[in-house]
Amino acid sequence: MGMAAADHQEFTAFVRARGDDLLRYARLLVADPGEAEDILQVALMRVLRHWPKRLDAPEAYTKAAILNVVRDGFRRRHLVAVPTEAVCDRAGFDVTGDEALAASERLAELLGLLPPRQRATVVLRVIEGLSEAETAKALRCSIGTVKSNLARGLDKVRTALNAEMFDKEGALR
Amino acid sequence: MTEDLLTPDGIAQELRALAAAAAPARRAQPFLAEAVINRCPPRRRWRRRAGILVGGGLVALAAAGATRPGSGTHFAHMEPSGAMEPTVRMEEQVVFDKGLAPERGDVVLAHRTIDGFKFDNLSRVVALGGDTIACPARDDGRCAAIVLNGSPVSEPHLEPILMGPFGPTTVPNGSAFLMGDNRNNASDSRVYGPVRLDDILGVGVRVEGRPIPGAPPRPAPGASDTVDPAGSSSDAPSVSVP
Repeated sequence: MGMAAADHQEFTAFVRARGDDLLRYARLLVADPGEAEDILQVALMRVLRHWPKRLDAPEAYTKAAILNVVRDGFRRRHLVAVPTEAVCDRAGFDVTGDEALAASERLAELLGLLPPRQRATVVLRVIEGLSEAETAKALRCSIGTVKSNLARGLDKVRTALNAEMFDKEGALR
Repeated sequence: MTEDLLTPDGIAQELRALAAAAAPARRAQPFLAEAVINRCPPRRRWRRRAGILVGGGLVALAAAGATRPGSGTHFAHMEPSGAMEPTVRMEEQVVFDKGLAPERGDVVLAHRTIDGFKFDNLSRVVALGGDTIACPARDDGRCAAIVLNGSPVSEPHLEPILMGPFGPTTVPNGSAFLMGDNRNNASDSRVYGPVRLDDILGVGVRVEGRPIPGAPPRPAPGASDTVDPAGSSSDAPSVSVP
């Protein structure tokens, strides 16, 4: 049961069109950029297996696959990536995208404060704009868990920003 | 930074804005699809399942063949009667070799059927096909020793005993004449006649681990095992016993 060349062509076209967006999604969900690329590849491999079935929503399917790989990572506490101070990685950025680069780094810094589950909840609920019920379904947890993870995650970000502002005020004085 | 940033909604808005600003910058690696396709070999599910099925079936067959009850070279039998005393006492265990041809003096297990009732009978071979066996009566009507082909047979493994006379009888080819060692309390070929060699299930090699008295020397089970010969561990105890 081999895949036809037409299937490969269709898949390639899909990845060309949606790859950037899917990578953005993966990078939001995990802290380590390399890990995000790995997760995207693994998810795409799983999607490719089912490609001949004519998926009716390939992008949603791939996003669900990415989330599944990320959720696997939740259970591997010893493999959770620890964000470190890294030199600015310009690879894969538009040369002109300095503002976007700064925004991306700032976002990574803020999300890096959160443990994996809180991070995924915040990303799905806030950035991807899913409802509480949708987030709960995607993460296979209860709505109450979504609420508490979201509140704790946002609270953590708030505390960090507070401290930052306090530092700035102190420096101004 | 403004004060209203510090409400959860404000933080959410800030994160959304950052994500939107960062979005156009992100580029997936070139030739991502090709890399995925190359890493993902075609799925040969049915071929694989067939392979697993055939391989598993072969392993199961081999295991079943190797462990099938009765497939070994030897078997054991617990003697329920006293017909072979004193050589084999009641409830003692005898180990038989299925591959040996019975000789005179061997203790064998013979399969017998009397009136549709099937059972296995432990007895000693005293004569083979073509032999003439008898136990001539003395003056007092008793018999002291069996006579094989005209010459008396000495049986040092038995207590000297007087038995009822019989014979002479010539054993047909392909048969054996069996007698229990407990001569006066055994139902054997004197009662039911010679037994065909086909009905002999095995030749006894050990009784309770000892060689059988009065029988030709026979190798114990596992004696031809070159890796771990029978008795190799018990011959040289590694721990000295006081």
